[in-house]
Amino acid sequence: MRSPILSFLATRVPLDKLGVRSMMEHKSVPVHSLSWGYYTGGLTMLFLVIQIATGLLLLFYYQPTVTDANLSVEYITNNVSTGALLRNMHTWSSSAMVLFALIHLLATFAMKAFDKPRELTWLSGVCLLIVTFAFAFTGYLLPWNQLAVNATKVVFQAIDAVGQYLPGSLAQLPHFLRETFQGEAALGQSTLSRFYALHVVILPFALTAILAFHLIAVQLHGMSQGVDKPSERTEKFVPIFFLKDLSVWTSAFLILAVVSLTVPFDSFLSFPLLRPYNALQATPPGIKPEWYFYFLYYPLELLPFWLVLLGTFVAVSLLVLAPWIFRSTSRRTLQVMALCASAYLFTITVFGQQIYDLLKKQ
Amino acid sequence: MVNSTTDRRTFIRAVVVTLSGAFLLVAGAADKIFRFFFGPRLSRQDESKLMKARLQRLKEAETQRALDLERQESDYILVAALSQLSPSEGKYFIDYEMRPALAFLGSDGLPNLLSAKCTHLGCTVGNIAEEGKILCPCHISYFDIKSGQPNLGSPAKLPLPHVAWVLKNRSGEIVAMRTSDGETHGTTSGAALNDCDVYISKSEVQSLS
Ligand code: HEM
Ligand code: FES
Repeated sequence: MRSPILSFLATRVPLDKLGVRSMMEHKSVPVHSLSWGYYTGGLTMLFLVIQIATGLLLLFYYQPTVTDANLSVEYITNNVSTGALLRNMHTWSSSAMVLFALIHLLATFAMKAFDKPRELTWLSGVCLLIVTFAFAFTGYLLPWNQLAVNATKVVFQAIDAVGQYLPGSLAQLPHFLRETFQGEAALGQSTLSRFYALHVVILPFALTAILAFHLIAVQLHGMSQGVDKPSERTEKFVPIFFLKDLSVWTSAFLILAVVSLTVPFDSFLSFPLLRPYNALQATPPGIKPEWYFYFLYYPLELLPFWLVLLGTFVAVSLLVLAPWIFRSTSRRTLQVMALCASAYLFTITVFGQQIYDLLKKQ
Repeated sequence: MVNSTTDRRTFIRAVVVTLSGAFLLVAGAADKIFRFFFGPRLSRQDESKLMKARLQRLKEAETQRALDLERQESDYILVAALSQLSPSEGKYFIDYEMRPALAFLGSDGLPNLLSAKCTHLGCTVGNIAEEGKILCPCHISYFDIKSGQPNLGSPAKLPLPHVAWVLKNRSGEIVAMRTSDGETHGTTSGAALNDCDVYISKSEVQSLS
């Protein structure tokens, strides 16, 4: 008699399939209209590898102290051989990584890839996305300029504000979390040290561990069918799909290299934002988070705080519970939902400022 | 049709091509990679410029640390000399709770101190008062510096709280003071104020003694 927990795990993590034969030789990729979705995970991983490579190199010169952080970043940009390119690549590729992690999530959602037995694969994916956002948020503070510190302050303030909507002793939790990460009375050296530890040690460890699980789970289960009517045609993963993966990666790397060589990531930011942080100055006008936080930033600007909080809570719950909530939903419906979500993300990210101006004028 | 020999051949060919590409990339960038690790060799001038900048940042940090210590240890923090305050350009200082605040000169010739932490989402408010109002640039809230009240229709709804102060003369005697509810005590005009400095105090001073 097997315990229910054991048999749950045995179907979700069928380690008995671990082996070159079933994982490489027999793995195949279905061919259908959504097949492009199978590339998105690999692309996210490519950008992660680039982040790790460029990030490790930046560590050679970056100095995580409030006195030297900004100067060391300037030194990297102006003096170190290929330093400007490395920083540029690290930043552009962080954007790309977030973008593809989002697309990957939407695509797998539309393909119902979270369906039994892949619930844990899906859950680990949701964790990976959250860790990726945490990477971007902590990395942002490291150059210690006006933009970075002031934007982080605003986020801390928002975290504090969550408390008033929580019941009982939970109300203290956000405040407590904020103080823990801030580390001292105002944003300062302790905050920088903690963000640094998170960005270069703790999050990389966490990401590697979760990603390892995610990848093994993907290998053990093979690719999911993706569309309601299983397609007749499949491609072998090795070598056909792997070769296609390689050519997609090469093209993506080429595009990233060209963009990083030609477009400085800060060319869209106005001047005072990148001056070293000074506690005795007004917040410079025009501070905004990176584009990948617009989907949260503009609603926060436009709607009552509690509504955004509720929306976020519902969205995260839907993501976490998707395998159970949408168990019997057809892939058609899921595709429509994913399209709606994409439409929202696209509109708010590209036209957020226009919508804001329009609504605020009235 | 799956043909395993051609499959294998294409695969090996593609892997070889990719590897050679990667090799060429590394070879082409080899001198850059070497120079990256070797580190830049700056001209004397650039080196001095960099050292000066480093020293400058260190000094700024020193000032900041001194202020931190002062906040920790002393019952009073110097904001500015009364004569340095201006009615239109506020002087930033950091209060005991490490929040930014602004010091103006009020129309009564006495200091007017108020918090500079916007009551909307906590940005630091600007220090230039135009027609008696300062601006939070984050979402455009104007605050009246006299009352602290935001303009009607601003995203901020609550007033910027006033900060209590004491005026001390050169010999360290308290000449005048204002509590956080806005009551002023002591000598509030005349020559006695000439050489005074503006302080904030750790625990609110309730009366002159
Ligand atoms: C695991 C490996 C990683 C290491 C060792 C690393 C290291 C670093 C270092 C040293 C900096 C400061 C230098 C600078 O600001 O130019 C930095 C900045 C940054 N990192 Fe990372 N990083 C890693 C992964 C990531 C990932 C996965 C993301 C995002 C998805 C990310 C996003 C950022 C961002 C947005 C910045 C600020 C860039 C700037 O303004 O210059 N990093 N990282
Ligand atoms: S933070 Fe000042 S107006 Fe929003």
